[in-house]
Amino acid sequence: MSRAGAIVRAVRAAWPPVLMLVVMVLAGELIIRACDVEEYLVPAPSAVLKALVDSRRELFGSMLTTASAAMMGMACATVLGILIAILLSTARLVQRAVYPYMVFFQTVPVVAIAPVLVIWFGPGLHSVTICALIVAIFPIIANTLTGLLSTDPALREMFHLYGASWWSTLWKLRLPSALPNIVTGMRIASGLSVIGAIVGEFVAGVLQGNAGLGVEVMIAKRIGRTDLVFAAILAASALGLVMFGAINLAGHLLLRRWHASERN
Amino acid sequence: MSVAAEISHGTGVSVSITSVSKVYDGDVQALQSVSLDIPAGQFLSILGPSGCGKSTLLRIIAGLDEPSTGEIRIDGVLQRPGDRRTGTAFVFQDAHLLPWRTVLRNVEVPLELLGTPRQRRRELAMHAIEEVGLADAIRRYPAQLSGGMRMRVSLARALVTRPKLLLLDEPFAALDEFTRQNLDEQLLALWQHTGMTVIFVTHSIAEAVFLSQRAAVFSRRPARLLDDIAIPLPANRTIETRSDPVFVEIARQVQQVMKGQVDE
Repeated sequence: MSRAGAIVRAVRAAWPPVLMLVVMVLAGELIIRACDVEEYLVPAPSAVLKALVDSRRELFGSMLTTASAAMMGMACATVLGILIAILLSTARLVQRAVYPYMVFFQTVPVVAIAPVLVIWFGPGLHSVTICALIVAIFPIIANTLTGLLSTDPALREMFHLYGASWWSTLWKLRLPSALPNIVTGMRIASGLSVIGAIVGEFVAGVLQGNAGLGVEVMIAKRIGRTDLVFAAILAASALGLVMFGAINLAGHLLLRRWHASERN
Repeated sequence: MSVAAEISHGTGVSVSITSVSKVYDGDVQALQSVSLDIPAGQFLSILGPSGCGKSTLLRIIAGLDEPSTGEIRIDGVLQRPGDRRTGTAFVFQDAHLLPWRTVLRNVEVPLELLGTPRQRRRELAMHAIEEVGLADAIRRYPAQLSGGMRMRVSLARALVTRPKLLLLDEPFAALDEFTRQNLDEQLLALWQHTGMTVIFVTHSIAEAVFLSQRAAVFSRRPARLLDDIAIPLPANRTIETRSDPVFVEIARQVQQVMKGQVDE
């Protein structure tokens, strides 16, 4: 009964955007057909769908390649980001000395850094992963740092009263209380890591096997297959959504018992 | 071997405060030459208007703040700044629990920090939780508890190390009158069967008179000791005590001292 209720609620919540999508796709299809637009300029939705179905194996393989770079970048960004945030949170002086450069570094576009990475690490997975890492790490550092610096002062005093070491204060108090912030940082980073991987592939991708969605887009563009370009873009968004969903689910499982953001 | 076992049950410590003053940032004076001798096992209330500096005194006794001048001795031993006060527990104004831990795991925190072995930790925590009447709630998270229950967990957490000196900083101020009366009675019973020394900061005259053997009444900021009033009520106090002529007379007397303060 409650399950049926849940379905009814889900349908009620979902119908406006779904209807919107159907209307947009149909309108696009009709306008493109009526105006007889060249396919290499704007492919009709049906053409994109056809490309998606026809090249599904190739696209899926590329998606896995991009996914592995994005996920590895994301994982490294999480570990490294948390470590850097811990370092920055320990000494106000370190934070003041380092933080401005991190903000500066963050404003350098990854497309501009990617060629340098190719020089250092050669084209391929390594460079692409590092691109993903570079764009994903900043939100993790910034959010984790906020979390680490906003530990309940009374609890810090309590830990102090019982003679807690720096290590157990970090492990038992500061990191767990920063967890909601860490999850927020990872949520932002999940989408960014896919963007970073695809941009990385534009510059550092290799043209062999399952080359990655970024390479797929470049090739499709070069041979005038705009429908395939769009199909690859759709696959990339799907990947971003899956990663975001996975982080969201993990965050929910970790926080549901105790944090207001995940309770009901 | 365990720290908790080393601390014998049933003995309090004496606290002597000699000419303690506290000046913040060079000009804001919080305490003005306060001297008080608290014999072992006494229940003392510190009464005063809100924000007068009585919490500062408690924090200095706990070692969370340093006095600008003057000294604190516990059982005759001079307390140096930075020394850890073993055998002292502090209860804050709010419960300040770790929201990601269950009731049981919250009460275990002090023992964990002191390095008590797991098995012993669990036993002591269960015992402390039973003492505050929360045995049914050990697996619950703080977010699932009422304000009164949370405060009881906080109390159990303070008692779990069997402290010789319990410091409470307006612990029940945020609770409703009924819950507060209930917790007052519980605290009194705990004090009676442990024999620890209790220093209880409050701005409620009725609460101070109901709980303690002695009330130290403080002036507005900078806090000076205005009066030191013995409360010769029987040890066994119930809700009826509040209509006892001695209770009424002392409450009136305290009111007089504090009223003089407001009119000053």
